[in-house]
Amino acid sequence: MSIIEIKNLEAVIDTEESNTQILKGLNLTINAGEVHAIMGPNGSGKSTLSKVLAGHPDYRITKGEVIFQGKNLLDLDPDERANSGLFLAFQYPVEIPGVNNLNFLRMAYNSKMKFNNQEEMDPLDFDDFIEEKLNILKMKPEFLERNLNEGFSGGEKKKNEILQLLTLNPSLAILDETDSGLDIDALRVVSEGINAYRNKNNAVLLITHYQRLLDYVEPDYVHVLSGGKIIKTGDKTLALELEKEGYAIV
Amino acid sequence: MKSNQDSIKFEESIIRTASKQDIENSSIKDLKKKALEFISSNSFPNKKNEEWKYYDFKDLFSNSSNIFSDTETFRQEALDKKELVMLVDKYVFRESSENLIVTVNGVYREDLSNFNNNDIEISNLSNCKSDQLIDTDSSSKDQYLRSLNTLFIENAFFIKVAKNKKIDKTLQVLHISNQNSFNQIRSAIEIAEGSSLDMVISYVGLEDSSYISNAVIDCHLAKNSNLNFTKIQNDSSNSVTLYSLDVKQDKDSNFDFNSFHFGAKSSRDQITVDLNGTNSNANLNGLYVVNQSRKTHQIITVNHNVERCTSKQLFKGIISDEARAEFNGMIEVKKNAKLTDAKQLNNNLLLSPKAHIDSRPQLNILTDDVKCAHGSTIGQLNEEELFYLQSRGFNKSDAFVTLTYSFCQEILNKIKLDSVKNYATNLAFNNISTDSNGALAKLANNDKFKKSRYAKNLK
Ligand SMILES: Nc1ncnc2c1ncn2[C@@H]1O[C@H](COP(=O)(O)OP(=O)(O)OP(=O)(O)O)[C@@H](O)[C@H]1O
Ligand SMILES: [Mg+2]
Repeated sequence: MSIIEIKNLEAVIDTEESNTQILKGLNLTINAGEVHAIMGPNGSGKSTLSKVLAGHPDYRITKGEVIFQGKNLLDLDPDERANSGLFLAFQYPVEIPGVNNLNFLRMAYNSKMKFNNQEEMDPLDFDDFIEEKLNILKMKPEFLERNLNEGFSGGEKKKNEILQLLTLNPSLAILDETDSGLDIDALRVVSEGINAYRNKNNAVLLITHYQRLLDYVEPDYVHVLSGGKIIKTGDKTLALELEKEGYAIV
Repeated sequence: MKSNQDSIKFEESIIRTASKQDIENSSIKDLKKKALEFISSNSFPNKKNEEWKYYDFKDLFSNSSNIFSDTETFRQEALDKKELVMLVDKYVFRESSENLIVTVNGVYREDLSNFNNNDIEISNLSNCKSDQLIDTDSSSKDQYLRSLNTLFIENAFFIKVAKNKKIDKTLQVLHISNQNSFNQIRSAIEIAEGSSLDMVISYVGLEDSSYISNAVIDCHLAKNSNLNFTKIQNDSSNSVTLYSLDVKQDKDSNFDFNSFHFGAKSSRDQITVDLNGTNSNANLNGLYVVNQSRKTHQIITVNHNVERCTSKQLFKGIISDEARAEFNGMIEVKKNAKLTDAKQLNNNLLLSPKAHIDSRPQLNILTDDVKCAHGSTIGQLNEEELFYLQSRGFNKSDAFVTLTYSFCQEILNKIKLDSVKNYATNLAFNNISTDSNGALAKLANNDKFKKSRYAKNLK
């Protein structure tokens, strides 16, 4: 069963300063239970793809369609996409001073519950719920008391993204360079977190520059994105090859 | 020209009305005479005065012509007692139900107040040395407004905390306005040496009443005393409010002021703090949230008159629709005030293209060896932050409310009592132009929030 089908997607950056086409006819289908990795040179459009899927307002779709669990994804607002089960761990998570992390996590969780007509969780139950997730990621409870990402180190921000992944338990997790900036131990812990999340009904799209993460979270497919489209697809050995030879081989 | 004529008309109405008063029988007749003399020979402030430069007199004059037109006495029948008791019930904070002072249309009402604390002395215009307490007009910047107040006050209240008393219960002063009248609120607060007091002063007005309120408050903090003063202005949206607060601080005293502005068609606060004793400290915090075509003006002056004092001002504003706000903050460091440490910051959030702010943080330093910092910011909500929240399932309005709340919670958190904080938080969100469905309740509902184990460390 497919979780997401991206068909011939074209997108432009549409801001006051810029109007450039970045995605130039991208095709990708991800089925339940699969892990896909996307690698590719800097500036090739990987983050653009992830933000387009999440619904960032700076991008305009000029062609193509995206079917997400039977729904037309591009018709949905960003919050509807999230509440329908799409999750993006950002390459650069923003800091939001004055918004408490625990409160934020609970509100995010309950938004999804409400959207799906399920009962919202009260604070005490949520404490127990979140504690279990913290333990998986070996995060200290202090992180809950702080403001959302404010003053977090680079690696701490990435961990906090994965904490959100575990909290929201989406059907598709797009992880944009979550491994960048993690120390060796943190990479292992985060990988364990990702593996804890995985099951046969959901899927993972890993965007990464390094083979190392893929040792922990084994991909079924590895794609090379370059110039706004996927130019090569292989299995996990492709990542090894790329690591050795660089993008010259594709 | 038009506004000049309106001003003259306003002044004439005042003098005409004053002449009908029975000044001779007042317990402060000498002061009233002096005030009348001042009013007769001076004119109402105008735009030539720096501190009134941005003030829009239109609202004041339109309310006044309404008030003075048919009733020469400008005082209508007040609500009956039963209705007033119900209003008091509605607006009293439960922690303060036995430490409550009430005024109605500016007049101190002992019958509605409920007060029983031997360490605090409350007196009124006729049973205290009110002459001394009120004779402060000529030393203040707002002499015209103060004289006006003196001329028309019917009753006032004076609070005195005895020496070396720490008052643990918060005192509430509730000002109710319910008619088209020109209300004169007057009080003086004296904190004796070594004492401390927390008070919440709340202003409420019935929605359809177009009053003008002219409040004058004097505070004196004696040596080593402490006053925590929270003001919550929720006046009728047809009202015009003028407010003059003068605070004088002696050695080692501490003044915490938290000022919230949610109501009124036009509000103007003139706050002047004099640090007269070494090592005294003033923290002034403010939050103004205005929408529609409302206006608010915050004119704040902190005078560092002696050495080694500290002061901090933090004012935040949320301005939407076509509302306008002015922050005019001044730090004056006088010649002798060496080793002053003074800060001032004004942050504003403009939520619509027509919202307007005049922010003027100012310093006037007449000595060396001081630490002073000031600044102001004006901005919109951050798009990336909004998107981040939406990507986590917050709908647009919840994301908007959450970020707006995060902007102002720093000031709301200065309020000590939960009930007061919830009240202020709700008012803040009622004054922002958006439907704030749900999200606020979740964030602001402290009782529910408290239940979390992790909440105990949240500040
Ligand atoms: N807001 C923007 N304004 C102008 N150009 C942009 C904007 N956002 C992205 N771009 C451009 O779009 C291209 C693709 O960027 P994108 O962030 O998707 O690359 P990436 O593949 O994620 O790169 P990296 O590996 O460095 O993260 C780049 O050339 C980038 O400069
Ligand atoms: Mg990127």
